[in-house]
Amino acid sequence: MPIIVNLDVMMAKRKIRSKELAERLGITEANLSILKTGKAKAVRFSTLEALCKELDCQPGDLLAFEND
Amino acid sequence: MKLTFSNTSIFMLRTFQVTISIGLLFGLFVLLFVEDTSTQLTFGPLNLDHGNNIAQMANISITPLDTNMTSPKIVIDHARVNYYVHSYGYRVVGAILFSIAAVIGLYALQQLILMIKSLDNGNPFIRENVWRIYILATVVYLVPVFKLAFYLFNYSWIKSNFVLDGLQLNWKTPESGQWIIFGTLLITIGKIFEQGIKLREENELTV
Repeated sequence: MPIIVNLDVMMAKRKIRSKELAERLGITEANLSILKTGKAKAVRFSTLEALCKELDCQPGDLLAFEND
Repeated sequence: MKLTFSNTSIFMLRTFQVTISIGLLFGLFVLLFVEDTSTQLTFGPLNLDHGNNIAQMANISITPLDTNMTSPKIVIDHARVNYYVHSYGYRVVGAILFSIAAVIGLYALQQLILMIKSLDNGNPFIRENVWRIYILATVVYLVPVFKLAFYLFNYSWIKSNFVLDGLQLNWKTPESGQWIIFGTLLITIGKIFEQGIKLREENELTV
């Protein structure tokens, strides 16, 4: 998929672990892993909003478009 | 490159081997023990006199060309004459056809059982089940084809082995309408299943 999820980069910058972030977002670690590995087919606005809030970033910092 | 099989593949392979073995055993059983595989020529109707228990059919003769065919048996039953002839060749072909049909039927049954099991496990929306439905549909489509093959064999065997005097051998075509409708219905259910799986996957992969 040409949409790249840079969640792991942002998490490393903020020095936050998956378990902690999942707890703060109110989602399971398994779902966070789906998002991190790029397996997700869709992201809810509510999840994106919570991610931006917790990681103090913009949606563009988490998602990028790369043409194949 | 090292070839590896998953547990599921090995299980499927073994069950398929078992299915083929059971099917062949069925065929062997039919070949050795079931006398009804001897051909049956049915003619009628007869003029029946129920009061005196007499059946009349005039100017008819059935003569086998091969004198090695043993013990022809004539049974008069419900206004029809059943003429049984014991022929080894006929039994062998009958057993082969039956074996193939048994293997395919047992395989379809096994797929149906696996599908019901997945339903019991509470997870029926899996890709394997879509293939199972398509396999069942194919088997359903094959039923009239098999019937046609058997009728064709029967017709040509009677034509080439008997002299029928005063009788007309009618060509019989299998009724295939209900099988085609049932098969198409199964394919439609398979397509609906496929859409359901897509929706479930999208739902599961939405974070």
